Amino acid sequence: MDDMSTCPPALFRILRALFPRAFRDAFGEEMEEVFTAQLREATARGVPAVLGLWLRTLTGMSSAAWHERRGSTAPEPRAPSGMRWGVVRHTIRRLAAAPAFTLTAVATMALCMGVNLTIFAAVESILLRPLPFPDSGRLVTIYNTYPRANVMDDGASVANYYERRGRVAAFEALALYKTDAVIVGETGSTEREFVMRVSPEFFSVLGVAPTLGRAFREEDTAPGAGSVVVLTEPYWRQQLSGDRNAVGRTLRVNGTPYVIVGVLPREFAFLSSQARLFLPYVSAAQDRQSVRRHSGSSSQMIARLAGGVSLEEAQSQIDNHNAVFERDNPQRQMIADAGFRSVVVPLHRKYVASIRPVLVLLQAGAIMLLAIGIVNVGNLFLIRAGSRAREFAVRRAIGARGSDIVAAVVGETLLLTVLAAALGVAVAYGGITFLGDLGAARLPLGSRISLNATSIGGAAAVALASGILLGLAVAAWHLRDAAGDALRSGSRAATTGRQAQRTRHAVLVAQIALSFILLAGASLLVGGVRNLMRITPGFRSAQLLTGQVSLPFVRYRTGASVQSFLERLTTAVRATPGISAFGIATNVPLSGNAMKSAAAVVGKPLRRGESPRGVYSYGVAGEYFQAMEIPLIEGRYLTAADAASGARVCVVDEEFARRYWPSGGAIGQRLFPGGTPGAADEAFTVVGVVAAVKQASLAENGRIGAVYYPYSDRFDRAIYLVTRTTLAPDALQADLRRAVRSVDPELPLNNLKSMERRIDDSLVAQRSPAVLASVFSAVALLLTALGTYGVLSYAVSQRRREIGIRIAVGARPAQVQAQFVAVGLRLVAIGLAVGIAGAWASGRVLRAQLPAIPLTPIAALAVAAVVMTLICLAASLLPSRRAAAIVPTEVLARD
Amino acid sequence: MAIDPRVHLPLKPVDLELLLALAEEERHGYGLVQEISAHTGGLLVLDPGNLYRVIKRLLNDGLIAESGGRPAADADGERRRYYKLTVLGGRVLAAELERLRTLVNAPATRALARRWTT
Repeated sequence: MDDMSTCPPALFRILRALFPRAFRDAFGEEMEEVFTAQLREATARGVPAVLGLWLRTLTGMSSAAWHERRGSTAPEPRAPSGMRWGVVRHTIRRLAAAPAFTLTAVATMALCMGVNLTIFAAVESILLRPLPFPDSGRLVTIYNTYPRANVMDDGASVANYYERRGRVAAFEALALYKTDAVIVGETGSTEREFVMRVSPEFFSVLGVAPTLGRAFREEDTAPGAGSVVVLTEPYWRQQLSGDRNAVGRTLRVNGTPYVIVGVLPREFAFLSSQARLFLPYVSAAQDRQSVRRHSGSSSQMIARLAGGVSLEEAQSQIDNHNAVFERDNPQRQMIADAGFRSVVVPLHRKYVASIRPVLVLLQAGAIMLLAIGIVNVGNLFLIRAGSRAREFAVRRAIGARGSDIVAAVVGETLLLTVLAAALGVAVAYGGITFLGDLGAARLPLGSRISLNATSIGGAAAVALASGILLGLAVAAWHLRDAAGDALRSGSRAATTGRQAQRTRHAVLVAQIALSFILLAGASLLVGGVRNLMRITPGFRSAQLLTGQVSLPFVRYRTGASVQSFLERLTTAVRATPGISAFGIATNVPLSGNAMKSAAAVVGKPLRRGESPRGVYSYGVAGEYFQAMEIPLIEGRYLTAADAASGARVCVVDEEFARRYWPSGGAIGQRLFPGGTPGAADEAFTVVGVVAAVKQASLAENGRIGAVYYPYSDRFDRAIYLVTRTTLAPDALQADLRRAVRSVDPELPLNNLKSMERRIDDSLVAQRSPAVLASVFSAVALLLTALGTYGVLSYAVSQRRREIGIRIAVGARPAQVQAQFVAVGLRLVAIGLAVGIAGAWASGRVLRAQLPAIPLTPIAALAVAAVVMTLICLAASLLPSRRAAAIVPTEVLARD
Repeated sequence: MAIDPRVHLPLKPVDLELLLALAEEERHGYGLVQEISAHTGGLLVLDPGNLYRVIKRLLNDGLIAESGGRPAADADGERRRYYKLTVLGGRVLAAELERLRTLVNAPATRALARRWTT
């Protein structure tokens, strides 16, 4: 409510817009001031006062605007607040007298508003809510991109950091960070912890200071400097029991004692980082040299713009800065050919960029659902209006003014929508839990999805606006329906005005069209996910268990110690029953990591202006290929003997082979890791060609290529264990843990997942929208069925007399039934015709965002059309059968 | 030329309240809402729409006018416009109050009031 008291909500502006222009010009600003003051005062007095103010303002402003527009001289404020309660009581009584109508209308609106509020909560939490740092709009990230080498985001290098800090005026401060995992604790009770290694300014860039102790200093980052650690509040509370004297105590990190120097504030959270410990970003002197400025990839740069500096200004300063440093780079031509640039973007926008289109699409779908709901309730009102036309006509005949009728109808719709909004908030709480079940926490910033004042205020505004809109539409219908007309045509249950029927039909057609668009969209998304799941990843994903270990430097300093560890581990794992093959790799498909590097092929020099291309690079050992069941196309797999002998051999995938040796003959060719050829005896000989695997996602079709080197040549302390199991993989988790522990009791095994689970997880971003869209369209279908049923039931009830006469003179019941079914089907046909264009257009939008969606959505549209027709057919059958069952004598006797 | 204030009589209750509020001192819109609410014991709380419809009409009739000077005490209200009673407005208010006094003091009125007061 805080922000509401300083600037008037949009709803007030809407109300003000109802007044004639001249009036607004003269008094608009002042009206706003008065309302702002009233709202501030009411807010101070509490929620009932705010509700009372809104009720008074809504009715007062809309009736004042009405009179002002008509230039009427009617006295302005007639009813003091005491009398308004009478109106409210009367409205409640009227609604309570028609419980089926009221329940349907409230449930419909509550459901639609709840869905909207759920999605809006996600949109607000992820896209709109600023990052929780002071003046967070000035936080940016700067990343290197080499688009023509297939590397879109290569982070920033240590050298970038040292050459830029303090030298680019656009930035108040900049910092470098990378995520890492360490082993914390004493022997026997170690745990793997995610950490961030950060440069000293990291916390000041974010505008955060430790609550206890200090942040990092320059001297903490020197190679071999004192080992220090800053704790997050949760870690401090859970692991150190919130000890106020924690600063100065030590913590064993990777087997070395680290001194705790600071504790961060409780609310500190950097994006969705899971890190609970912060370590200084230590770097070697040679990594800080500008010749290493393009070896980034694992670290990221953030910065705070200096006051008043625009993004464009910062970008141009970075461009100039880069130009200066590139001048002396011997590889500048290659870098330029790769399209190198350092991009400055707002940190928040960059972080949520991947999820933005999906959220925007979902919000559009939810708004469409709300439109369907409002249209549906509008139709219910119109149907009811038919029976109330007489009441209003009588009231007008005895002197009620138009504004009285407007007030009565708007009051009713407002009460309904406000009630629905309150229930909608409850629906949204359930909806957010559902989003959590769908895996929303794995989205960027997804863990902070919650309802806050902004979302609820938005819901209230939407409720009030839709209540007024709906009320005005219904009231307009009543007022246009001139008093005399209604009295005449309502005199007996004869056919009511054609106009009214046309309106009801048009409304139903709109609803059918909107539902069809939603349904078609949902079936496209579902089709897209099914397409993705049909894609073979290039290996056999069933019965494959993978996990990760990080070998701490302190205990595995040499290659020999790592090698001996791997040999003992292989023996232990192979001895485990249920495991048929075991291999090791520096990366596995769909791990969420895509390690790419260039490979220079002997005999295939780069053409002028051609950039080296990043290809997936793996270091593998043991029976990696056998365990993954990656098919061998040509030659042989890498063997344990290759690693032992130090032979410089490698295996490439078919994409790589096809690119460089399209006519075959890859075996025996030679290549160098990295962008440039080295000494001849350092080349790797291709000994095998294997099938391509999907690395980044099942949807990738970039023909990237991959090279597999022996692990000993592609050394990395973070390694994946890959086991082919003869049992259900999850049943072997404990056994694999035990095997690792038997070799090194301090080494935790993490990220232990079956490969099918990894594939599943990789589909979250596609599957969740599909599930949500399916829910939307199911609700939309239900509403459309209700709408169709309502319109036809009403038609039947209005024409009982006519039907009775027709049956009396010989019409067969089947004919009567067919007639009403035909009305329903005709409306469906028109609705589908209108909807198909919209569905086609939305299909194109969806495809741009989620490429796995079928190119020609004809099948999806056809399915949606058939479902739609069946639903409406079913909904029209019930009233039609009631029509056919009319007994003429009963109907006519009642006259 | 002096206009006979009696052409404006009887005043609508809300007009009477507004003129009374301005008779005391110059006020801005929100000040009027507050004063009228206080004076009627919360029975009449104007929304901005109706408030300015009344103000517009009274301005047109020449009963009130925009005040040029702003009281110095009001530091924050940069854009606030203040309204004051015109000479005509003052005369109309006086005439209306006189009419009411006559009405209330008439012996027949008193007798009726006694009969219906429980």
